[in-house]
Formats: sequence, structure tokens, C-alpha cells
Amino acid sequence: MLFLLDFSDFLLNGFLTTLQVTLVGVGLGIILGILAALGDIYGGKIVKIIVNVYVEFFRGSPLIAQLFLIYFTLPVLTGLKLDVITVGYLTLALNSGAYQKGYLKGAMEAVFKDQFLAALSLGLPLRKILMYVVVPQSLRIVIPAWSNELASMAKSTTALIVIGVREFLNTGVSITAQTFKPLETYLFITIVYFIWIYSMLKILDIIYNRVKIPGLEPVI
Amino acid sequence: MEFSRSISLKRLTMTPIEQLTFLLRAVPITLSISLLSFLLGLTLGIIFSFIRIYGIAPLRYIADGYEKVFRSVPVLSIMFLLYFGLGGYIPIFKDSYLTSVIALGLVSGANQSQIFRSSIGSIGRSQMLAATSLGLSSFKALRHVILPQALFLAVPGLGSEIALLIKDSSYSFIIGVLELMKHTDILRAATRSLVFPYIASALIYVALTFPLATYLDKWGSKKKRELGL
Amino acid sequence: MNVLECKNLVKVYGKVVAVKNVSLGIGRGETKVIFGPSGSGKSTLLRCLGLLEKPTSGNIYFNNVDVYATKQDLNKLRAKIGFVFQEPSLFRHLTALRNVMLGLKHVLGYSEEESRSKAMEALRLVKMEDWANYYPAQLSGGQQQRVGIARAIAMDPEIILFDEPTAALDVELKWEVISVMKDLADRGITMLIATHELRFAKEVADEMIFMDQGEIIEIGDAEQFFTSPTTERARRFMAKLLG
Repeated sequence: MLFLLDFSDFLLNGFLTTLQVTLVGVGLGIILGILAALGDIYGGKIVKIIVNVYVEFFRGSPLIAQLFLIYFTLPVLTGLKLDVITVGYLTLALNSGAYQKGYLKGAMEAVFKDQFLAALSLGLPLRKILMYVVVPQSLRIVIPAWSNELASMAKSTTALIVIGVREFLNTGVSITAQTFKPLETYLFITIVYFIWIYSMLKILDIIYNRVKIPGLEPVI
Repeated sequence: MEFSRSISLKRLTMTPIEQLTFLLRAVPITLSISLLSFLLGLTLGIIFSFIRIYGIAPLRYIADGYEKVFRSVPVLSIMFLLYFGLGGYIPIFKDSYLTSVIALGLVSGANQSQIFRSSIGSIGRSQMLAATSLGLSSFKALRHVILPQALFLAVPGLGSEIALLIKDSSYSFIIGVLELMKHTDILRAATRSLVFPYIASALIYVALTFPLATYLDKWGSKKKRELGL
Repeated sequence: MNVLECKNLVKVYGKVVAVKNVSLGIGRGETKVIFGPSGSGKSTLLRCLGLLEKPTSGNIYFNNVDVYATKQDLNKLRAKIGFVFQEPSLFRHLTALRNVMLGLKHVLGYSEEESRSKAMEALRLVKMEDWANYYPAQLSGGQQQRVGIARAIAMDPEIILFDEPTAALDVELKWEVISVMKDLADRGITMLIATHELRFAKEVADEMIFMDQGEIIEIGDAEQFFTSPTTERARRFMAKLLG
């Protein structure tokens, strides 16, 4: 596998791209997920329908199909032409948001129901209710789901290969084309994915175990 | 990487019905990949979950390692490793269809092992004790007492696992399997239309996965209540 | 002088009128009990009085000051009105002690040490001092309710509102919560209690209020309700409760 040293910068760039799209995808997905969850809890009939169609579509179709739709179909329909990396961010965010809506809604309902009223009855102002009651509870409920989501997003980023994003696995395609050593190349890449994703899961697990509290079970 | 530029036909004019028919013809292939990899995953999942719970130490570590590895790597990178990396050495991996089934099945096995572990966990130790107290061998106890209950409890999880496999079978398009995504790509090239093929195929996937996720989940929780599990 | 009072209070949700034109006052040191069938509007009335929900119309007075007309700082007043909920609603991420300390520290502004000692005092009052470091999920329903009462009492409120605090509890857990409430009544703490525990009500209530379909149907002392309710609806409800 030593020949891969010649490609270390190339591989590193690919890996950083993968890392970046994963984090941006999940990060923007949280925002979309929160909005969708709020829409589903507090929205009117039409908002609820829109939220559910969005969620079912993005949960029910493959990421590859979604990438094609946003890369090829969207510009034809709207005239909006996006570069590949933006398509990557956008699609991953929409995809992740659809998945995250589910548990974010659960977390919100769990925290908001009685806990909010109890905090209110003590005379806590809204800012302090959020700071001392809502946020600490929601975070504990949501960490395990985030950890799942990060891992699954990290794995999904390989789909970006179909629109030509130079992510980590795609660097392997280029290296193989030059070196004709697919076994070593893909073995190396697969091992790196494993180390990265496994340690990410492990770290979040350690964090969760440090902050977890009996009775405050995660919703997944 | 070039995937499908090889097909450069003259532009075809097809009615939406003809296009849809063309796409639907790929559905059996997509479903067969999903189903076969599901069955492979089911077998692996049952075996490894039982080993992890009831097995002896060295086997347990292997099962544990298998689960950890295959839950932490992208299925596409496994496909590439098997197809491009091992295809030259092991004949079975020369075939993109079989490679896809195996890669998806290996990953699914790790997922299903976890699904079964959690359902066996909720059955509890007492069932195993009760079965062995009747004089059943451990194998028979697993086969006749634990497994049927575990399967039942696992239904909602398995339903979303099949849905996941239907979606993830689209990765096999990248190594050239003629499934739904590949048909979509061919149709796109033939009709030079970027709209209909992509929207139609995405909706076909939704139609295939939606009932699995929704109804099996409801059915599962209803049965669970009925059985008092 | 009434600590808490409402006049012509109405609360409407969509098309449902939960509370119809209710007027009621609780004087300092008094204990009043509200009872009535579920859905009679007790909970809504209490939440309005606790300033947790804004009435659709009508006035609420705290120490004779009209709360909404004079645009009072609601959070300041909420701190002076204790509230105990039907479902145990302890903050799930905090221990019993921390639950009681939260308001002391972040609403009343006591230091960490002061909050801790005041909270321990309140927990002692409800006989939960030995459970101070347990999380809500590790406590029984009755214990959670007692901590909930401690959380309210620690704020040194001028009145405490109880919204059926024993309704969600098993029979054997009810008595421990009831005995704590009795203790509070003996100490002269001003209370308005929604409850169906009539024997307890008889012991502590200066006045009993029967509500049905959002209205006050009858007000009287416990003796009167037990022997000869004046209204037909109260008579029927008493018959059902007493079996």
C-alpha cells in the first residue's frame, strides 16, 4: 500500500471533502429537521401536508435519485444552475432533514409537554426555561440519534460520486485508474472509513454516557 | 468516472407510458437485489445475533467485530473493494449483480444482527430458562422459543431494513447492474430528457418503500400489544 | 383580603368553552377545595389562576391588583403562586434537590449554598431529604409528587394551587401526598386544591366548590356537601363518589 503515499495530498483532500459534506449535510439537516418538526406540530393543515410529503419523499427514495433530481432536473424546471458541491450540500441537507424531523419532533414533544409548564409555574422567564430545562433535556435525548445520523450521512456521501464530486471514495477511482491497484486502494479507503466512522460513533457514545440520566431516554 | 456515456443512441421519442413501462421493467431486478440481500442479511443477522448473545467468548468477539465493521463502512466502498479489488481473484465478484447482493447483504447482516439483539433483549432471560427447564436443548430452545418471538418483535425493524435495501440497491447502478437507476440513466440518455425519467423513478422508489415503512411498523406494534411483549 | 381572586373568568379553546363566567376568591390562610367530574373545567381554571394560561375574558387579582389590566410582570407573580400538577412534572434531567433549587437560584436569585439549604429544608418538610440526589425516574409517583410540592413550597409562595395531585397515583401512594398536604394546611398555608379525595377535603377545606361543565354549581362547607347538597347535580355527583 506504500504507493498510496504518492497520493497522500490527493487522498487527504478527498477525505476532507467527505468530512465537510457530512458535517454540512447533518448541520443544515438539523435546521431543516427542526423547521419540519415545528411545522408538523404547530403548523396548519397545508403546512403539515407539505412537511409530510417532503419527509416521505426524501426518506422513501434513494439518495442517488435525489442527487440526479437536484443536479439535472431542478435546473431544467427552475433555471437554477448549481455547482456540484452545492448540489451535494443541498441534497444531503434535504435528505438528512427528512430523517431528523422524526426524532426531533419526538424530542420536542417529550420536552415541551409538561416540562415547559412546570418551569413556567416557577416564574422562570422564557430564556431561562430554554437554557435550564429545554436545551439540556433535548440534547440528551437527541445525542444518540445524532450519532446514528452522522454515521449514516458519512456513509451516504459516497453517493456524491454520481455527480462527480471529488469525495474520498472518488479519489480511489482516480488512483486506481493511474495505478491499476484497486484492491490495495479500496481496502485502504474502506479501512479509513471504518476508523473514522467507528471512532466518531465511539466518541459520541462516550459523551452520551457521561451526560446521560436515568429516565431521560433517547427517542430514535 | 463515466457511467453511461457509452449508450449514445439517436434521440428517441417515447410517450410517458412507454417511458414508465421501460422503468417498471427494472423493478423486478431492483426488488430481486433487495430481497436476496435481505435474505443473506437475515441469515447472517440471526446467526451473529445469537452468537453475540449466547455464544462462547472467541466467537462472540468475531460477531461483535463483524457488526462494528459493517455498520461503519459505506456499502459503495465495499462494492468497489469486492468488484474492482477482488473481481480479478474471485470469480463470483466478477459479476456486478452478485457482488451487489453480497455487499448489501453483508451490511444488512450487521444491521439485522443489531435488530435481533434488541428484540431478543426484550424477550428476556426467563424464556430461555423456562425452555431449558422443560429439558429442551439450548439449540432447540433457540429454534423453537426464542427465534419465533424474536422474529415477531423484529418485524418493524426488518420492514425498514427492506426499505433501506431497496433504496441502497441503487448503489449497484454505479458498478453497472441493470436495475432501476440504471434504466433511468439509459432512458435519460435515450430521450435526452432530464425531467421525466428522474421524477418517475424517484416516485417508483417511494411507492416501493412507503408501504413497508408505514404498514409493517403499525402491524408490528399491534401484534406486539396483542402478545403482550 | 383575598390573596388570589378571579371575576367573571371565561376561557375558550376554539369552540369549546372550558370555563364559563367563574368568580372565586381565596383569602390568606384559607384552604379551599374544588371538585367535580373530569372535564368540568377545574384544571383550566387553576391554570388561569396560576397565570399559566391567559383567560379569554374576565379579571384575575393578585393581592387585589388586577394582573392583566395593570400589565404586571407575570413571571414575578408566578413565582409567588405555587403550582402542583396532576402528572408529576419534575424536570427529568435534574435530581430532586436540583429540581427544588432551580427556582430558588434562577428566579429568586439565591446563591448556590442558600438555595441548597432552603431546598433541603423544603425536602425535609415533605420527608424526601433522603432522596435528594435521586433523579425523578428513580422515584415513585408519590415521591415525585412530594418533591413537586417541595419545589413549590421552597419558593415561599403566598398561595399554592394543586391540580388533582393524587389523581395519577396508585391508592397506596396517595396517602403520602395527602398527609403532606394536610401538614401544609395545618401550617396555615393558603391553598386551592382540586381533588376527589373527599375525606381529606372534609378535614382541611374551609370551603368546598363544586364545578360542572365549566361553571360553579354550588359552594358550601364539607358538612353540607356530605349531608345535603342543595343542587341536584352536586347530589348526583356526591352519590357517585361515595358509592
